[in-house]
Amino acid sequence: MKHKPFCIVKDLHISFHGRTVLQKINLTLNDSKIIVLVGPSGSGKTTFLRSLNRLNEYYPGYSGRGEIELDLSGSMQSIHHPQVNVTELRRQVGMVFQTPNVLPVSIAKNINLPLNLVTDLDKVGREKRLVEALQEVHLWDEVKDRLKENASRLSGGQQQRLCLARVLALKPKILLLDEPTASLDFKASRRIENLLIELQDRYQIIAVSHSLRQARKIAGQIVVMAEGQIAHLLEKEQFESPDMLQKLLEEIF
Amino acid sequence: MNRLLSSCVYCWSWMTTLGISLVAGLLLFYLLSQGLPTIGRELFFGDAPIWAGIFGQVRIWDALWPACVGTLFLVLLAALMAVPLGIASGIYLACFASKPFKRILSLLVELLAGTPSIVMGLFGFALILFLRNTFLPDANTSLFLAASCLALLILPYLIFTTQAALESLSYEYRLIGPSLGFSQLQTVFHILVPAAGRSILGGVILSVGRAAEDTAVIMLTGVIANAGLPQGLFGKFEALPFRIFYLAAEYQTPAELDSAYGTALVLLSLTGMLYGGAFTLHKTLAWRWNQNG
Repeated sequence: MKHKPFCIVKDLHISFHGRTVLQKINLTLNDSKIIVLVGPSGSGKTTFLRSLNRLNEYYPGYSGRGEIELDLSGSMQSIHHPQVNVTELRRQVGMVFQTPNVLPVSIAKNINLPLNLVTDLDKVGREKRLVEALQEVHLWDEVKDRLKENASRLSGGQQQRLCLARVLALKPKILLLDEPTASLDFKASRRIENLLIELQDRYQIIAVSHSLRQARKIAGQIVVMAEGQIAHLLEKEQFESPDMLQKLLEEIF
Repeated sequence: MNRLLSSCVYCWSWMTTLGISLVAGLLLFYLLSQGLPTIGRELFFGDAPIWAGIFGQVRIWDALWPACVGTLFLVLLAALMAVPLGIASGIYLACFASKPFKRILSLLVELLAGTPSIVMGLFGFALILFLRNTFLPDANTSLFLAASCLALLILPYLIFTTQAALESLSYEYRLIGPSLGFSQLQTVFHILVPAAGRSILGGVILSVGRAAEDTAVIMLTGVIANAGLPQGLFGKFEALPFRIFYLAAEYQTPAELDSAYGTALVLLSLTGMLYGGAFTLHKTLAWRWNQNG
């Protein structure tokens, strides 16, 4: 099966307060199964992820150059073009963070507030989306009777799934996940992993992972990063057996 | 050694906490024991009949009621001017101002915060002199002038607390809005300000308390000892802190000094009530933020 590219990165450099975090990144990602970024801490995985929805610009001391093109509306378009609507870009390129960051309001409002502000759906449409999104992350049965309850009372795993539902409700094209299971226990992590595998046909997912086990389980392609650069691009066949991946990574580092 | 040090620190923290509570308790007890017996009809209304006194049909002499109303009006008016302005400036400084501009503005706010209240009063007084000599020969110190000067006095507290409350929110929290495609304005007003609400309210409470107890500003800008109920924005007025000051400084009988204690107690209760009101307001707002989708 022939894949076509959805993300082309050309000569990307990013630094904060003059300290280089990413350099000479040239990368073409084809739409495929989940793409997982791995690498030692400080290798620039999260910064790379945030460059795709231009969230780095919120951090103090940011400066960057280079070019990123994403396929969001059928053709490749630069996300740095002056005509690009950044808020619309961030809606289409949804992001879930390392630690669950639900708003300290009711479960329903966590999803309704963005729907209300970012989309022009009416009340009926919003309610439909709310139910769909919660069902998509298998949270609906757990919370349908307590939608008015404060979201911070949910367990960590449930909160992370709520964060995912909050992003999915906005119908993104690309999903960025920054170590989404880092703060969760084993069981909750498993659930999220299985959920991502389910979602991979509907959304193009790019995830940062700290665990090789997890990367092997969910990835269709692994991008290995080291010292702010892309060290390797591994296809599924190359990491199918655990020994092979381990050996490859030992060679790289 | 380390254990000894930590138990010393532990002991010291306990003793200071205990000491402060003890001092505050003693003060309150002393105030209650001196002031409570004087609380009654006479302290508030003197010889005047109650209902006629409350509504200002009868002039009240040497009693508290006009000062209570004066202070209440003064504080409300000052808060009305300062709170929206202060919170808006705090939001601007925390969320919108560019770096160099922010530095200059913060310096100016610090300057304002460092201005002693008597200087603020003097400023108001000088303004009246200026107006009299130029285009308003009838200008005089008044409730409005006093409230404006008080508003200036409490403005920096409001700005600082609002700014600090917003800036203390974590980066992760601030990024929720942008990551969902919110504009900056939407992020600020739908996510950041509600989350900082409790601390901002803390600032409002502090500044309202400050406005209620300040004497130096109003002494130069319109308060007098026997004005009766405030006669409008541009009239003279009475106020509780000034009455305490005046009674304590110039009492002629022990009974008058006792009534100063009573007045102090009333001022304390009034401030407490303002706090209570602000707290209820916050509860209602927080509830609405939580409920309405």
